[in-house]
Amino acid sequence: MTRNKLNNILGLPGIIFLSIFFFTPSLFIFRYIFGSRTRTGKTSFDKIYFDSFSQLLDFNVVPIINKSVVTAFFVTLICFVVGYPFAYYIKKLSTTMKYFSLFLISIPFLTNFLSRTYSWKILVSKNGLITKYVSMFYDVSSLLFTDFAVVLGMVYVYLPFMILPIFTSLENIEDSLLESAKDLYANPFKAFYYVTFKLSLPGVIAGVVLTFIPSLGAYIIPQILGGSKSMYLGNFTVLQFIQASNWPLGSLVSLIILLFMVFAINLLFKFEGQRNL
Amino acid sequence: MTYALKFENVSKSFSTSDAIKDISFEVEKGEFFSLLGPSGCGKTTILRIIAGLEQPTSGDVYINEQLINDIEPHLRPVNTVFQSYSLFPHLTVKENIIFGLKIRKYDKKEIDSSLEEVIALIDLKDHLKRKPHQLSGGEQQRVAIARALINKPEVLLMDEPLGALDLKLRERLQVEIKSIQESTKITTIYVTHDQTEALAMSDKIAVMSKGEILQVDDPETLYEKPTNKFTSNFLGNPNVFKGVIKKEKFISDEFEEIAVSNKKNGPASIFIRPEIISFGFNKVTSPNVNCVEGVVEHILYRGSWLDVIVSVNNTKIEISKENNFDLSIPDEGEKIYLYWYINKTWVVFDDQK
Repeated sequence: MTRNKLNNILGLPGIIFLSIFFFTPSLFIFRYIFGSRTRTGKTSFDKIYFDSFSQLLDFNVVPIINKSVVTAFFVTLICFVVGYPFAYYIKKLSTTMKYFSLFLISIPFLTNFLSRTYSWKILVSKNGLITKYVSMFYDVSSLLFTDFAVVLGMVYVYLPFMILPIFTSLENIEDSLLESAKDLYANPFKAFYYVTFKLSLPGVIAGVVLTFIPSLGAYIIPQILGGSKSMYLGNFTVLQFIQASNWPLGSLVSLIILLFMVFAINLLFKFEGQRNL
Repeated sequence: MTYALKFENVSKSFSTSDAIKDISFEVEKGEFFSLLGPSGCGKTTILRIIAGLEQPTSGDVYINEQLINDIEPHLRPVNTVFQSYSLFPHLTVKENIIFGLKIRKYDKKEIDSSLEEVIALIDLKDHLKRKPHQLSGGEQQRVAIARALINKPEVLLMDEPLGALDLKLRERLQVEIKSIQESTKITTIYVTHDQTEALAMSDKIAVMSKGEILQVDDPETLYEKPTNKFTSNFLGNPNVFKGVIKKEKFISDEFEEIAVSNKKNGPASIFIRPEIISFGFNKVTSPNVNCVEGVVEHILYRGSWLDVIVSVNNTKIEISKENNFDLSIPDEGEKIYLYWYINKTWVVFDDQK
């Protein structure tokens, strides 16, 4: 058997899996977009409908898209601003402390995601610790069901996804490169920017993708911490499928989320590709 | 005399050991100065102290008469060619080379003309747009040299720059580096453990061992007239015998009397370099030469030369001879006579350091 054939066989299970559980459902979604919700809640396919597109405006979906993208952007930004210095700090620790810190970062993964989000609910509720602290500066009685709580919850959950890839890329930078930057007249700040930061960009990009994408489609966090009035793309989609039985609109919004993600990833990788030319 | 670089009683100790002890030396402007010694002798530490990447524990370092102890590395007028090249992997060859100029905000015109100047010295024209990982080891090393040279440093530091390359390439780059240095007249400190490299390239060599400089001299003096046992041994591959000098005769367990030209008496070692010994099938009697009888034990055929190991009075003497057609090669087991000039028998007394 040639190496090439063997290689194809290795890919086969994945190809079958993705075809059945990813590609085919995507086609269903695509078809549903052009269906129409009937009175009973079933979807009619007897001809090509464009109901979902007009509903996009009728149901005021555009502000929801807007808000979701802005929220995901800020979550990503905060994760980066907090995560990069922290990843840099861990890199500088001794080997033992380094791995201990990485262990601490991964501890939350061992706890159920739902229960972690519920504990945030307690923290931001009326007598919660965070509410008490914030109320010292601002006049608030409860932070629950606010956008602030949603951002806080998302930053908490997605921060490790920013820290870990950045740490990995920082870890791979040889110290001798910084020495040669200093030798070539770069002060510590310039040496950091032109060498360390530039070489850690692949990690930053991975971190941004891993944070932005789940924040954009997040469902549980907006649901628990944002409440029913606070609509994000994630819970709006679920609402269409479960409560409103409006599968065409739900499918359209799913597609919009997907397109946003493809666009974002594409942008980032294009940027990364330019660097490697 | 103007000095480009001066070390005054510089010591550096690391938590575990002394890296260098009380080092003093001066390097003239435009000189090619090598630090030669086995690994761990502290030569790289000296280089790092000059670059500012390491702080001396005590002592002073001057560049052009200016004390630089407290000057940050990025403000020092020196550039380093690192052993591992340390090229920036995310930058092209061109971006690597002009890094030092760009950081100091030279304008585009100056950068372009400096680049052209350096490219004229080091042939990299076809590689400017490539990334370091697309280059061979020799090409990467050229980039590293160009990246340092373009800044026209007061002192150019080279840390075993050819250590990772194969012999042929190493020899070619030795010639290249030497001619670049001669044309630019940049004061160069060159760290190496390769004696032939140091001898071939340097104006002056400092021989180092265990954190100390044992001798600083030009290559010829160093090789012909080493002042201490370490240098005598480290350079070349001499035959060494330990004994006593008495009335211009060397006496040891192996030899009854080998004539030497030193008037001093006392315990000493003699060094006889393999290349100064001649051999023949007849005894040579002359007041100017020592002659001993021996039996050929091994002949190592090295291509351009032969190493002949001769057993003499229960000891072995190695001689090496150029492989030319005049040479009649003895057979193993054959009896031959070894002879060499008395004044070429190099003596180092035990009380010399």
